[in-house]
Amino acid sequence: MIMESLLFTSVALVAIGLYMVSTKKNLMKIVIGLEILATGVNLSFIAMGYIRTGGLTDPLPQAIVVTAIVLDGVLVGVALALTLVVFRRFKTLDVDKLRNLRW
Amino acid sequence: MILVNPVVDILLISGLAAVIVPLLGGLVRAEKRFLGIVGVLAYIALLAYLLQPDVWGSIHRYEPFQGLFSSSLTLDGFSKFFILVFSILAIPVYLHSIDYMARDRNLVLYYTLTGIMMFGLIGLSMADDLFTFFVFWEAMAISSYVLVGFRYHLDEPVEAAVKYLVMSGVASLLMLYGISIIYGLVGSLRISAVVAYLQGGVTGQAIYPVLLAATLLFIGFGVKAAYFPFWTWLPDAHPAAPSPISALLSGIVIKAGIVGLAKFALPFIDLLDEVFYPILVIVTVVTITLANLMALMQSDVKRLLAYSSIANIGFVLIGYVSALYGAGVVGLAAAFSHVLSHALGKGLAFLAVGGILYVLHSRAIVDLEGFGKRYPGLSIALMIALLSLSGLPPLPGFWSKWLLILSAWEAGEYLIAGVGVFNSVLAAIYYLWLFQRIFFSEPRIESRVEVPGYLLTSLTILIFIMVAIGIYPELMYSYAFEAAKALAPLLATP
Amino acid sequence: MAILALLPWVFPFIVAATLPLVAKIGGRARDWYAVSGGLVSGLSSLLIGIDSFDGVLDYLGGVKMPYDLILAEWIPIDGYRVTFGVLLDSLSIFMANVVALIGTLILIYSVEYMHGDEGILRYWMLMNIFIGSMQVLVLGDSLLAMFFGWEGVGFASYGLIGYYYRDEKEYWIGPYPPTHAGMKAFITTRIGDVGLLVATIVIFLTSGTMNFLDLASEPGWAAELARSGVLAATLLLALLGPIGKSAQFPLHEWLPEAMAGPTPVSALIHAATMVKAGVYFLARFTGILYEVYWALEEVGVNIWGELSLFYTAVAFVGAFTAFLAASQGMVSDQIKKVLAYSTVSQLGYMFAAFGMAGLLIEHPKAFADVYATGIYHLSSHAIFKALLFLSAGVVGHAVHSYLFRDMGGLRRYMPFTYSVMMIGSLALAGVPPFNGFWSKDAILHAAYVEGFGYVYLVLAVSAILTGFYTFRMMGLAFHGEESEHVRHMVEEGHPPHDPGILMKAPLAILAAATVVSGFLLPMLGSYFKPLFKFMGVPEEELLAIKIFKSPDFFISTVTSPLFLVAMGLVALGVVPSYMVYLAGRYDPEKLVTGPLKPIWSFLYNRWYINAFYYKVFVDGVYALSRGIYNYFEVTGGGEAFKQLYISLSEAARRVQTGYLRMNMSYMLLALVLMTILYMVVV
Repeated sequence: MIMESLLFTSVALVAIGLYMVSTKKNLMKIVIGLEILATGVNLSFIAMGYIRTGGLTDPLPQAIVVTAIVLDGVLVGVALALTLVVFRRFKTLDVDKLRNLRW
Repeated sequence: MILVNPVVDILLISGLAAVIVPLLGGLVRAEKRFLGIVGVLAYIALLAYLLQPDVWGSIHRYEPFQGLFSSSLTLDGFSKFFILVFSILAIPVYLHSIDYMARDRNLVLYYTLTGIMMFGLIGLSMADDLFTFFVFWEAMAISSYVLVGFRYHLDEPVEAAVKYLVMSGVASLLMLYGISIIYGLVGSLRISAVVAYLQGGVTGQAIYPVLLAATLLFIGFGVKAAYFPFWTWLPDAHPAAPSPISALLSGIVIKAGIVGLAKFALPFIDLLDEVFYPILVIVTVVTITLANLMALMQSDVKRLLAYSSIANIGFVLIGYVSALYGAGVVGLAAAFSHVLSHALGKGLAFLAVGGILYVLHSRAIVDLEGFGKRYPGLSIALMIALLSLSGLPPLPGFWSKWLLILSAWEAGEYLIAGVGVFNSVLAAIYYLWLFQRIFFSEPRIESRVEVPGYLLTSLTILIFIMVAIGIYPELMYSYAFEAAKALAPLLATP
Repeated sequence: MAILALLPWVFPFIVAATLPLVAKIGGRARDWYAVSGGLVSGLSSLLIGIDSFDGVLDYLGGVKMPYDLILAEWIPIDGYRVTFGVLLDSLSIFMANVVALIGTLILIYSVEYMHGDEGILRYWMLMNIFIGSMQVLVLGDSLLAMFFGWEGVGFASYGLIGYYYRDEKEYWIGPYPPTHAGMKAFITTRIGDVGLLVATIVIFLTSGTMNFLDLASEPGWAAELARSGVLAATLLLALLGPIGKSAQFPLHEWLPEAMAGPTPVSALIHAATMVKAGVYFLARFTGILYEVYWALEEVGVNIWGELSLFYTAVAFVGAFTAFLAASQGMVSDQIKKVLAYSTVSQLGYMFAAFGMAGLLIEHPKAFADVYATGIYHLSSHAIFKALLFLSAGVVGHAVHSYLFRDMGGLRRYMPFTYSVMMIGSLALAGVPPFNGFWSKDAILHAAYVEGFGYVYLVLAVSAILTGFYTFRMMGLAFHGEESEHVRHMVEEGHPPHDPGILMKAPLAILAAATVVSGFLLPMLGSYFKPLFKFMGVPEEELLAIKIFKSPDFFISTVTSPLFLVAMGLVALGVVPSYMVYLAGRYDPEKLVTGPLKPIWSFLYNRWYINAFYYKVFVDGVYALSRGIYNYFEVTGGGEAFKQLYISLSEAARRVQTGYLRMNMSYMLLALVLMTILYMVVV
C-alpha cells in the first residue's frame, strides 16, 4: 500500500511539475514547478528503494536523494537569482514578454 | 608520475583550476584577467599528465563511497578521448579569455565558474555509474547557466539564461527520473550492471519501464546535446554567452549530451532498436536539415554558428545510427571523430568571432562585410574554421564527415548517407556565403583597434592542431577508434 | 642505407625547392645545381641498378627483389591498406635509370640551350619537379604513389609546355600559342586520368589495397570483379590513363602541340619520361595481371575472357595509333612535329607489344618473349628519340625556326649535327645495326611468329611510312637547296653553325648509345629474370626468352627470312623518300598540289580528328557553359534555387518562436509522440 501511494504521488508530482513549467507564464511559478518536479523525482527514488527492498534499508536511494536535494537547492538558487535579475531588467516576470530572441 | 590514482589526479588537477582562482583572486594584486593563466597551466598539466605512458597505457578505476553510492569512475579509452578533446579546447579558450574578458567585471567568478564547468565535463566523461555522472552533469550544467547569463547587465544574456535554465533544468530532472526507474529495475546504477541486466533479456511487462527510462534519458541528453526537437534553447544561449564560453558551449558542453548518450542511453536503444529506429532516423534527418535551413538567413554571425552546431550534432547522430544498425565500431569512431573535428572547428569559429567582436563590437553579418581586408589574421582563422566545418579536404571536418558517410553506407543506411551528403552541400552554401561577405565586400565599419596577442595565440594553437589533423588524420582516427573500441562491449551488436 | 632508394626521387624535389636560394649565388651555380638534381638522381639509380644486378639488394641488407620499402602507411581502416613506399624490382630500377640518365643529358644540354632565358629559374625548377615526379611514378609501390607521380608529371608538363607564356609568335605551333598547347595537354591527359582514378578506386574498394605486390599476390579482387562482370570495364577505364599520357588514339591530339615548349622539354616529355608513363603502367599492370591470371587459374577461376577483351583493345589501339601517327608524320611542315608524330607512332608499337603479350598470357614462354620486346623497344626509343629531339633543337636554335621552309642544305654548315641526327634517323627508320632496328624488328617478328597477322600487317605498313617520313625530314632540313632564310643568314655573316661543347657532348653520348644500346640490352637478360620469376614465369622458359639470348638473337634475326622482309619494308619507305627529297628527282610541291592533293590535305589536317574534337568538345563545352551562364545569370534561372532555399529557410526559422512555453511544449510533444509510437509498435 505504501509502495503504491509513494509511486502514485511521485508520478503525480512529476506530472504537476511538468504541467507548471510548460503552461505557467509567471517565472516565479515556473521555478516552483521545477521544485515540485524535483520533489517528485526524489520521491520516485524512495519509492524504488521501497520496491527493491520492501523497506527503507537500502542506503543508495537515501544517499542519492540527499545529494540531489543539494544540487536542486543550487539550481533553485540560481533560478531565483535569475528571476530577480529578470524583474529588475524587464520590470515583469511574464516569460511571454521575454521574446527578443527568436527566429 | 602518478600521485594517488590517475582518476583522482585528473579530477584534482581540473578541480584545482577552479578552486585556486578565488584564493588567488583575493591574494594577488595583479590584473584579474591574468587568472586565465591558471586554467591554461592546469590543462597543459592535465594533458601532460594524461599522455604519460603509464597513465595512457592502461585502464584505471576509482571507486569511492562504497556501500553508499557505489560510485565508480573509469579512465578508459573512451574517457581519455573525451578528456583529450575537452582539454585541447580549454587551453585556447582560457588564453582567449585573458584578452576578451579584460573589460568585464567579476572575473574571479568567471574563471571559477569556467573551472567548475570544465571540472564537471572531465568528471562526467569518466563517470561509470549514472549517479556520479549526474552529479558532475549538474556541476557542469548549473555553472553553464550562470556563464550564459554572465553579462546580466544586458537584456539578451538574461533572457537566454532563463530559457536555458528552465529547459535544461527540466531535462536534468527528467533524466534523474529515468535514473530512478533504472535503479528500481536493476538495483544498481553501475553501467556494467545495467548492461548485464539489459543483455540478460527483458521480457513481458518489464519492457515498459525500460522503455520509459530510455525515453527519459533520450530526452534528458537530448536537451543538452540539442537535437530535434529539444534544441530551442541553443540558438539563444550560445550567442548570448561571452565568446570564449560560446566556444566551450558549442565545442564541448553540448558534447556532454553525446557522452551520456553514448555511454548510458545506447545500451537501452540497442535493446529497443526496432522501436527506436524510426525515432532516431527522424531525429537525425530533421535535426540536420532543419538546422541547416534555419542557419541560412541569420543576420547574427554567432547565431548562425549556433544553428550550425545543431546541424553538426545531427551529423554525430549519423554515426550513432550507423553504429547501432550495422556499422558497429566504425560508426562510433566516426561519431567521435566528428565530435573532435567539430569541437576544433566550432571552437575556432567562435573564438575568431570573439576576436571580431573585440575589434568591431558588432555581431551583425552586415557589419562584417569587407572585414577580411582590414583584419586578415582573424579572417583567415575564421576561414579555416568555416572550411573545416563545411567539410573541405584536407581539414579535420572533411575526414570526420567522410568517415560518417562511409559508416552510414556500410550500415546500409543509404537514406541517411544521402541526407548527410545533401546537408554538407546546404551547410557549405551558408558558410561560403558568409565567407564571401567577409572577404569580397567593401568594408563598412572602420576600426582601428589592434588584435591583442593572447587572442591571436589562442587562434594559432587551434589552427595548428587542425592543420596537423588535416594532414595526418590518423591522429584523430586512432584515438577515436580506441574510444569506440572501449565502448563496444556496451553494445550487443558490435 | 635506405637513403639510396630515396635519393632518385627526393633529391630532384629538394633541388627544385632550394633552387631559388642557390640562384642568389649566381647564374652558373644555379644552372649546375639544377643539373645536379638529375645527375644525383641518375647516379643513385645507377648505383641501385649495379647493386641489384644479381637480383639481391645488398645495400638494403641483402633482400631479394622485388622489394617494397614502405615509408608510410596511411589511414589503416579495417581491411583497407594504403602504403606509400618505394618498389624496387627490375622494371622500376630499369625505368628509373632510363629516366634519370637521359634526363641528366637533357639537363646538361639545356645549360647551353636555355642560356640567358629570362624565366630560367622557373625552367629549372619545373624540370627538376618533372624528373622527381617521374621517378615517383616509376618507383612508387602502389597505385596511389604512382598516381602522385602521374599528376606531378602532368603538372610539370603543363608548366613546361606553356613555358613561353607570353605567347610570342615565333613559338606558336600552327594556330595554337604555347599556353593553349599547355592547357590542351593538361586537359586531354586529365580525361584519361579520371578513368584511371575511377578504376583505382574500384580496385581499392574491392581489394582493400593499392599496393602492387599485394594486388599481385592476393588475386581475389580480380575474381570478385570478374564475378560481377566489371573486370574488363575496370581495366579499360584504367587504360584511359595510359592512353592519355602516352598519347594514343583517341587521346593523342595533345602531343603535336606539346612541341610548343623549349626543345629540351620536348625531348624530356617525348623521349624518356612523360609519354613512357603509360607504357610503364601497362608493363607493370600486365605483370600483375599475369600473376593474377595464373593464381586464379589454380583455384578454378578463369578470367581469360575479360583479359582478352582488354588486351585486344590495347593491341588495337597501339597498332592503329602507330599507323595513324606515321601517316600524319609524312606531311608535317615542322621538324619537331614530325618527331612528335613519330613518338606517337613508336608508342603505338610498344602498346601493341604489350597488348600481344597480354593476349599470350596463357603461354608463359611466348608471353615473356613478347613482354621483353616491349621493354626493349621502350629503352631504344628513349635513347634515339632523345637524340633526335636534341638535334632538332640544335637546328631550330641555329636557324631560329622549326619550319622546314626556313631550312634546307644545312648539311654544309652543321656537319656534326647532321651526322648525329642521321644516326638517330637510321635508328628510327629501323636500319641495322642501330638500336631501333633490333627492337622494332623484335616486335614485328613476335607479331608474325605468334600469329597476330593483322597487327603485323599494320605495323609493317607503319614501318614503311616511318622510313619515308624520317628521310623526308632529313632531306628537307639538311639536303636540297638552301632556303631564302638560310641564304639571308649567310649573307648577314651569321651562318647556321654547330653548337658548343655542352650541347655537343650529350648529343655525342646519345649517338654512341644509339649505336651500342641495341647490343647491350640483350645482355641484361639475367637482370630481368627476377621480374619474370616474380610474375611466375617458369624458370626454364626464362632462359629461352629470345631477345635475351645474345648473340643468338642477333644472328637469328639477321638470318631469318623476316629480315629480308624488314629490309624490304625500310627500302620501300626510304627509297621514294630519297628520290624525292635527298636526290631531288621529283618536286614534292608538284606532287602534293597535283594528284595527291586530297590525301595530302587529309593527312595534313590530321585525319580531321583534331578539328572534330575542337568542334565537338571545345565548342560544345563553350556552348554548354554559355547556355548555363545565360540561364542562371542572364535570364535569372538561378534565382529560383536561391529563392527556394531562402524561403524554406525563412519558413523554418518560424519554429524558433521565442516563447519559452512553446519550447517546453516541443519537449512534451516529443514525449507524447514517442509514447504513442511505443503503443503502436510494442
